Amino acid sequence: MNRPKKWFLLALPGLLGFALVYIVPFFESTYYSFLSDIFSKVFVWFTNYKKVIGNVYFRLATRNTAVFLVAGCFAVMLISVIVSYCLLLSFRNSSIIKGIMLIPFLIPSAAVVSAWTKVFNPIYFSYKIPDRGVGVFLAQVPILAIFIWKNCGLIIIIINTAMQRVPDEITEASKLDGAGALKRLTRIILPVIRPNLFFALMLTMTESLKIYKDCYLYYKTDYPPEGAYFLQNYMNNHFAKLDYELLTTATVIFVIVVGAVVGVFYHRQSEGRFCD
Amino acid sequence: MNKLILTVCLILIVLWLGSCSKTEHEPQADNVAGNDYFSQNTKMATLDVRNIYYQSERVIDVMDIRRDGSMVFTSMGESGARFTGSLKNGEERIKPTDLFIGFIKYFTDEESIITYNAELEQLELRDYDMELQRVLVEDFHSFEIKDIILKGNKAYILNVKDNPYEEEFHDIESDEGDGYVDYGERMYCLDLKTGEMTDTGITNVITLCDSSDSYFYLYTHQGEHYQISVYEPDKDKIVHTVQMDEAGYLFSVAVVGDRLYFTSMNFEGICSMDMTTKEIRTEVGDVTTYRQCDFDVIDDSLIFLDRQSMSVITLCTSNGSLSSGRKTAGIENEESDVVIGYMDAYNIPFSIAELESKSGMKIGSYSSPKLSDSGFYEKMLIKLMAGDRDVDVFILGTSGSYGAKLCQDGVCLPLDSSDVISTDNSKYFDYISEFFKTSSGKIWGIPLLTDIYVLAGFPENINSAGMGEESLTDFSSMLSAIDVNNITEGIFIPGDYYGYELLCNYTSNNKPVDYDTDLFRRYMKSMWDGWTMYGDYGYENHPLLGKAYKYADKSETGDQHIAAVENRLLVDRNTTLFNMVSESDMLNYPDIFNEAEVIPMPLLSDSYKQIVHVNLVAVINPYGKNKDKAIKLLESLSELIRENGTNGLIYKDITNYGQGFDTESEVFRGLYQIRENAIVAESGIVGDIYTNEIPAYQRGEIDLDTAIKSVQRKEDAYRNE
Repeated sequence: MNRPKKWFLLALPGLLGFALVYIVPFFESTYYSFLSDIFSKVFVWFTNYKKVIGNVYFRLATRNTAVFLVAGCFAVMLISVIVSYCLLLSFRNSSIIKGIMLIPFLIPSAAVVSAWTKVFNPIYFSYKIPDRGVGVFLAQVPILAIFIWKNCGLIIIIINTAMQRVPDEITEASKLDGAGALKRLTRIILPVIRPNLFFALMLTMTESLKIYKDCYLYYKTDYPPEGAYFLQNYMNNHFAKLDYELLTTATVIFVIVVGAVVGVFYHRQSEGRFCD
Repeated sequence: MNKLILTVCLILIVLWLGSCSKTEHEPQADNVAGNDYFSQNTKMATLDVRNIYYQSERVIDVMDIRRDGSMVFTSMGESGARFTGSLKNGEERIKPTDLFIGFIKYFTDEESIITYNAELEQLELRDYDMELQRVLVEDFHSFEIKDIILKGNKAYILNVKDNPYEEEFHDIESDEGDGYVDYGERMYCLDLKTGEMTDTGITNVITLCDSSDSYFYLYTHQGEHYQISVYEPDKDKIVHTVQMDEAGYLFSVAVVGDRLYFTSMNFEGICSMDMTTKEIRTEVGDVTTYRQCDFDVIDDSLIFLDRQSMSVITLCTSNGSLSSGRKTAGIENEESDVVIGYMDAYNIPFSIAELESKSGMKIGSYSSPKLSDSGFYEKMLIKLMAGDRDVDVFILGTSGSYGAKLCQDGVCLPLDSSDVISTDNSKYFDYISEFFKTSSGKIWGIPLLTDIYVLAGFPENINSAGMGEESLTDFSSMLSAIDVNNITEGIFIPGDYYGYELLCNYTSNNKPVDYDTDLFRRYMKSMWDGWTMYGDYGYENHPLLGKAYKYADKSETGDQHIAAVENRLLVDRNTTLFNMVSESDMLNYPDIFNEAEVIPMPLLSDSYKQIVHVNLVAVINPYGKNKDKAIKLLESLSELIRENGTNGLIYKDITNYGQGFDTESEVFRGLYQIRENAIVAESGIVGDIYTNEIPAYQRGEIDLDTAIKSVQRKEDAYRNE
């Protein structure tokens, strides 16, 4: 019975800090989202929510963010798993390779974006891609490339490290049973490292939500092409316009949606782990 | 093995980080150890006390300080004239004068000062009542006197004879890349007894620096090297030189003990260098000085003018201090009645001291030392929105996207409770009055600075060039008239400024803005087609406006050019047709403009209204600690601004204009007529269009339809998101 108490006491400073820096401001923001504005402070219930949800640009931003999140996370995870497995097979435990992998993550966005504008001409992606249908998502291609390039290295390190911890006995035994490299990956290694994959996925999702800076640097405008207008653009523009009530409303909706998605993932992951 | 490599790497990183400090360099071999020229006043080797000596109510241009703590200065005043003043213990000693004083300096220990009379182009000796004692030198042409050093009967003058912006000069980034800019400085020697002026022949002098001994120092750039030299007046020559490439281009220099104190473009704040080891360290970080006369050394103190806060600050050792005259002003605002937040002293169109005197309140300022210039308004607004209580009155611009929130939704304290402000508001032109009311009709602020662009022209020259005044009704007819009549000189309209103004005018006259119109297409084609380049204020590149402009050196950048034009507005009365100028220029330079006629700016359509830019407003923080006092202060400020006339022509009734205006003049009447029927400018996404679509279109990377489609998409998002 003493154990939980002890752990709680140890975690208390962290929890307090988290509450102070994240939870309290979030509840304050939630309060603002029910006000007409922060000066008159007239309580307007869900008016701001109706306004934000009904706004075509909020919906556009949400759609684009969701598309980017799915595409970005899928691409990063897929590439990372493949590269990690290749590394595992060929350069097991190479710290130099790992160091190199980290470099893109450490380079400042301004330098990264500047280099990528040489690869993807901003004029083409700003003005010459289709402005309707699926073609609008072409505007996300350069941002996606920057995102993949920046984040793959870190995720590869996480996954590769996890793969290295899979006991050799299991893989050796499967080899004797005639399992090929692909089968070993899909049937043994990935199920074993599922918690690590979940962590990597969460990290990738978090990073994908921070892509605004790169998007802004690439397109150099508050209003990028339709397909690259993300939720952060919507929020930042309202911040610049001092529409804090709309900004906080969008934030609350965003947190609820992201919380729900993460919750579902976490639940699935927990179920899987318990089954194992 | 891995651990070993890691350890070695860590050591290397630590060593590298330790060696790359910006302000510390390895000792150099070519030192001047033991040199007597650099060993005076060693007490000041360490400066560790900072005192605010005096906080100026004016923007100081040139400053000189005496040993007794009194200060003499020239300052920028209204209408471009310069006033001089002097203070001792904060009290004025010398009567202000309306003489155009270009430089001022205390004359040794006598009760007199040396002034450069810029109008008569002569160096003069004046008493403290500013009465002329005698003329030291006549016909002394100077664009800028950078410093004067007095040694016995000789005055050494560092002079820039001609306007360097009119000559080809070295660009900071070009040539050897060491940052040296040759402004044409030359050192002259004046015999104060005989009045004989001799050219020492020493050029490339960046600054002069006095010493308490018989010699003084010159900081120069010779043979691709920066160096500090010791000049012996008795021998009339340089007797010692030390290479100073480590320090680079310096603005202000003082030599104390074996250390060189300086401000430079390469280092922030005031730094000092050990002349022996060449080690550099930062003494004070958050200050700005950029002229040699901003530095003074008295006893064991370095006194300097911080141009961010317009404060004279003393640096001294913990034991040493100025013997008299020092007072500590409340930069921390602890004793102030009201705190005003503004960008810097240059930014506000009134003097804090005048406002203090008018309101009877002690004003604290919350300016650049606490908030850097970059993103100043945004930072102030964030403070405002976050409910910060530090600042009572904010002085802000309205051009950003936050402007709408300020104006329409009233994030500031309503001012309707003040009869003075309400009455003032009712006196404004209706469109100004409405602009300062929220959507619910409450007054949210007062205007401090408004402006409008017009053409200042000479109708007879316009007619004789074949253009005719009717061709200035809109921009198409103007360009067409320039083209048809093959005008090759006499018109100054910077294409990029004009293009921006037209775009602002278009968005302000059309709400919601529809860019897919013939008018906008015509604007894009006429204004932006055919330019050879963009981005360097390329006014000369516009096919027609550039051709019609023949005044200045084409190598000038836009800003230099504008400054040059302001200095010699309508310099050539015979060939000038018209210049694009601001209302404030026309009002501030009546002598230059009294012959010119005010012509409304040709717009995209003759049915469009001219736009007034509301550049600066004062608002009250609803969370401020002293709201009642802040309202009283705004009442005084409103009155002061009206008297000074810096808020532009905003009153309906001509009798409301203060003494600063000649309401009978043609210029005033012309401007007033334009103001009567104008609207307030709204920039919206103009800045975005200007940095994205227009350059892309101009470079031929996108066609007109694509540009219009993109601009319209941004406009829709801006309005509807």
